[in-house]
Amino acid sequence: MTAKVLEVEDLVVTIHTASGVLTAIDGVSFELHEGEVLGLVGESGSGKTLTGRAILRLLPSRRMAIQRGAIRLNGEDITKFDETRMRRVRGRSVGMIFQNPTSHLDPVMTVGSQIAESIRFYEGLPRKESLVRAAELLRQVDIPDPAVRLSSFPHEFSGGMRQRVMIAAALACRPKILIADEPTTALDVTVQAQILRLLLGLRERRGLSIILVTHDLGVVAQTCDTVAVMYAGRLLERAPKRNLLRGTLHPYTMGLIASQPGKGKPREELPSIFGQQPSLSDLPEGCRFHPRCDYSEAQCRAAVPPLEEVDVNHQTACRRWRELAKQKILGAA
Amino acid sequence: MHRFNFVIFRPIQMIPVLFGISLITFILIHSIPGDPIRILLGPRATQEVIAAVHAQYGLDKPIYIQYGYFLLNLTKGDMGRSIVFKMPVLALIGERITATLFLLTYGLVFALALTLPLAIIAAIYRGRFPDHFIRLVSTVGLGFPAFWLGIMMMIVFSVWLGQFPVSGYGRTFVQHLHHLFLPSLTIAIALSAVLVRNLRASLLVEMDSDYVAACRAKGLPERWIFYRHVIRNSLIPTINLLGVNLGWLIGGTVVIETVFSVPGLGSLLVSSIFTRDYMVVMAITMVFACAIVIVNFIVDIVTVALDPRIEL
Repeated sequence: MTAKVLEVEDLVVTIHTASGVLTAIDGVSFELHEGEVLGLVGESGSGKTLTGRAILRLLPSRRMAIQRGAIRLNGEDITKFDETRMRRVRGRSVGMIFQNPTSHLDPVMTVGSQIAESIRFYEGLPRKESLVRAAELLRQVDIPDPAVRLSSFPHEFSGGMRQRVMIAAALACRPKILIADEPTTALDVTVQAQILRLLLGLRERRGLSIILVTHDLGVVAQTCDTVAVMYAGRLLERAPKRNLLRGTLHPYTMGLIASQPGKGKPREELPSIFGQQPSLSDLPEGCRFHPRCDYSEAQCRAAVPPLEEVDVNHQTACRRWRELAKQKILGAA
Repeated sequence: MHRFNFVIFRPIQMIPVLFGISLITFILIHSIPGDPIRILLGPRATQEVIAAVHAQYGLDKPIYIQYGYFLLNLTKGDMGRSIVFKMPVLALIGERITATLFLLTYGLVFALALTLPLAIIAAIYRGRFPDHFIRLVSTVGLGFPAFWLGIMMMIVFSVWLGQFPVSGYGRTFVQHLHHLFLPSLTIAIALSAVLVRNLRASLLVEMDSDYVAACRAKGLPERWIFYRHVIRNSLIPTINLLGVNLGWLIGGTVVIETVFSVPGLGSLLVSSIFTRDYMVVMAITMVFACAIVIVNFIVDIVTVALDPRIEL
């Protein structure tokens, strides 16, 4: 087992609203090992993006706050860091790329300057030398003619190229961890595959550990080592990809997998999970998935199911997993 | 740089615009009742004398012939003679234009010096006291007509406090600065009231934009992000608004110069309209029209330089 580079423990993120305090992330724990690609999966609003942002302590609104929990980066709890120390974590220990590369790049600055600026700021390199580094980064993300493209503007690139630029900028100060928030959602399928291959290549070359936030199990299947499934702010299941895709131990994950289009599955007959994810202001008692679960029973409604260890790698928050696995509903076929 | 090709072609497009403006102004000024020669010579002048002076200035010819002469002279760089001042119009404009240019530049610099810090402070303290205060002041500023504000400032600063002269322009640069302080402040207040609100709003939009979040994720400090990314992006819409307002302001100098008795083109225009000094009115209108066209041209160049996405 490789070294643990990041450990999130019992993370709770709250949102202050006019009608009270809502809990957007409720006791999420997971860890990331060196060189690992962890998929953070869930529907929109499940809190997966927020979890990624919370790790950098860049919550999208002032009304949101990390209420409890620890985020340990190489053993140090960064929730205790002040803003100055935190800034040194961002970009240098943990980089981040976003869903929409077009809006996440400054439209009026050349891509070269945008990649080079954190190098200039942190390493105090003069403009020229930082641009040499930027060109090298562009080459590493497979942009042709990197030296020429330095002086291009974001709008002169295609969507996939912009995502490559964003990756180059995020990696400029050599972080060891990359949080990729839906990096391929805004791209078309062929470009998607190229970007994912690029990320995997960078993991090999740079020893990068990646948290891949996505709603797309296809992306997970292509890239991840481990998967954490989130629902309504809670972690429902965590397992190595193979275990999860072939033998999930949670009805929600099962529903997600069943609703994926794939070979031999005509689109019009794809099963879906009925109902909707509950609103944060009106969360059900007990297991948050129970109102939509085909297998829920009284005890599911009564108490919050703990995240149970199935084995060292596999955890599930379904209290009926043993029964359901015995009935061959869950687990490996 | 093909994006800047319009710098070459735009001046050519301006020629028909200016031609149209000259035609309309010529027709308008000649349709106003009244005769410059009668005004000049007074009520006791005889018909013969008036007719003779008319012939001397070519005013006896049909209006389209007069316009033809105007255009012909214009190609020779001659804008005719002032009937009232008895000197070439160009020389007259040359005497007066510096005061107007000084006033406009002074007012513009003043306006920017007010707008930038106020908008930035309001945006940074969004929703808190400094923001509310600046927005209130700029709303009040919007509500005051410039001439009224000018007269009030004159009463307070010149008459009561005796700090500034009530009229004139002075001789040296420092005197210019002193004499034109209140008029340019009047301009600046009117202009800033509009610009502060616009720049504040666009700063707020840009401060919330995704690339700011991406910059934070790169570990850049807020100050760096603000000065290197946010301001430049926010200025693009504000520069365009400034262009529109400068056009309005060039016309506004007529009022300001009249209120503060500044010997510039604006006050000359007003007196020339009263004396029906056709050639002077024509010439000043053309100067103002050119100035507005040139200001818009400069704004376009600045916009294209600031925003690489724009092609004109």
